Amino acid sequence: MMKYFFRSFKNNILARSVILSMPIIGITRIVFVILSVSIYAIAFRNASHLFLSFIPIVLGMIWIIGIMLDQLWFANVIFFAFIVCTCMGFIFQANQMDMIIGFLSSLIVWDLDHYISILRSVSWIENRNALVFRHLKSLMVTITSSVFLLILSKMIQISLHLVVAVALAAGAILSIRWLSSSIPGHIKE
Amino acid sequence: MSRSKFIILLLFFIIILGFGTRNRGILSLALPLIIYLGYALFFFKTTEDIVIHRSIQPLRGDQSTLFNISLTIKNQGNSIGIIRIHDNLPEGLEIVQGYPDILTSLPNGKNIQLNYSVRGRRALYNFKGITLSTYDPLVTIRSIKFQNSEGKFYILPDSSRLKKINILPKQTQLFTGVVPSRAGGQGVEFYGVREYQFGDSLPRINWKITSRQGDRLYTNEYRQERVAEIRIILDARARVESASTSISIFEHSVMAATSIADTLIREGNQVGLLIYGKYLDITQAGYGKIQRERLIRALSRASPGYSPVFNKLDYFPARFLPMESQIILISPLEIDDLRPLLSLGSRGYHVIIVSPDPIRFRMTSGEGENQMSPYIRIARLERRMLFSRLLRAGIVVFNWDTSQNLDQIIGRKGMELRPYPLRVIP
Repeated sequence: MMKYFFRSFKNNILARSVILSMPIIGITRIVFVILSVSIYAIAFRNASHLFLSFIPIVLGMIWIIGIMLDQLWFANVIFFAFIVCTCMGFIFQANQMDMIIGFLSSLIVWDLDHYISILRSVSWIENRNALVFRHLKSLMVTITSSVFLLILSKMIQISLHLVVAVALAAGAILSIRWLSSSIPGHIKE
Repeated sequence: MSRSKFIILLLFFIIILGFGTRNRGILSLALPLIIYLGYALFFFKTTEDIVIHRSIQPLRGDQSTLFNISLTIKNQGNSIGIIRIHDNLPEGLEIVQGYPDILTSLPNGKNIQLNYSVRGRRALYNFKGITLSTYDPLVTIRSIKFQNSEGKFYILPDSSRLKKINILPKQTQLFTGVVPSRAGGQGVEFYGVREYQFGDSLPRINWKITSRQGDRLYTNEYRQERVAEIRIILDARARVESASTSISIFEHSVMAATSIADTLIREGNQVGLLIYGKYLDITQAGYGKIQRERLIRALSRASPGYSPVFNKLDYFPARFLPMESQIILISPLEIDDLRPLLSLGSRGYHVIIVSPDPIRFRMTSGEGENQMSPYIRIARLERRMLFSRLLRAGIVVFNWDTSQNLDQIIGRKGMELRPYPLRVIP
């Protein structure tokens, strides 16, 4: 296992040089992993859940190893684990704003992980910098609007009857189903 | 799992957990994911109006030739933010220069040129089309489309130039050629003596016999030289194939078939080809440069294969061969090929076999057993026995050590082929 790990690590030195050729993405990923982990850890510690504060640290370390090994499935698994961490934070009364910032940071890392894997799978990228900046711009737009809407949702508080809440949940699930069916992805001839 | 589906699963998880725990904070986590997916869906654009033009230069060449492939892709529809264009290369090609895929943006009316050079082994390479993957700006949603853009080129088999192939078929064609026929007339090789007939050329009178007989004149007759109808049969059965890491014995068989076909066509003969393997690939007999091209192209696309019907030579379709014609079989041979070959000889076909030696081939390629191994010795004995029985039936066999030049084996001085040879050559 260790042998495989070190061989993978060595083989990925070349791959990592691609990250260096795109330092914005490379540095951003690492910075946001650290940011996310620190926010979660501090939030859990402030909420007097010292044991829980170690979980994001371990997850962050695994994610950084995943980035080094260029294993994409790490990103999906750890991102899901971070979402579970956030949910635990909400349940255990940790600071909500910290949880949301931690979650958004992990969303950025997860997005960049996938983006860089697509860039690596292609042998030639035309106008690489323009494409990277366009992606980062789109990402920033979504994150900024998310932050804005989240702040808005904190300000506006509506109390709902259980029946209305269930109806809303059903509506949300149905609309997500509709959304998933409308996403293209099949091969056309 | 695609990213969009993963996000949808996360949304399900968050919504169910949020409503389950009645926690507003958890529910609020769905917002960034919905915005993320919504943004991707809103800005995702695809187009049906992409025109592709493929050019390949040259369309035929040998294994050292560099084939330049150029793809021009023009978008005549919606502007696309991110598109991946991937040319699906046929198997067996090695990219020497350039790239067959690109990630770029493709605004309306923009042209993209994709140039690359490839090299490969002998085969017919067919390009089917290219894969176009269109992405949204966040690269979350992908639409994959396969677009036809056909093209093909041949990598021709290697061949060695043979000086001459001596054949003596039972039947020859009408036209003058270089194959000695079984009839007297104009020619070079002595055929016999007959009584002088009015119109015979005077220098051809055999004065010795005339003086001995006294009362009549006698003239020499020479073997007429005609063109012959020849069928080359290439054995492409998977069971006779023996491959090393670099080259297979089948490649040697193809090379031999190409060299023989080329030489026979150059001599003006009518040559046809039958590739006996996974199926019967028949090239009808013909003359000239066009026929040579047809044969070489058929040999380019030949590959060994398995068929339960054609696994043995027992079902060899002799009806495709003209009666008493010359057959050149190129095959490493198996021990159970004896009976069908004897049957072919007994039907009046004049059969020559060029047999690349699989035992020697495996030993020279470094994969075989020790030369003194009992397996090798038994295999050799079997092969020798097979050859001796073929020879007794009047079938000429060239046992070809593939490390030697084919011309050295076939064109060896003094190895004139006769219908009833006495030994295996060499």
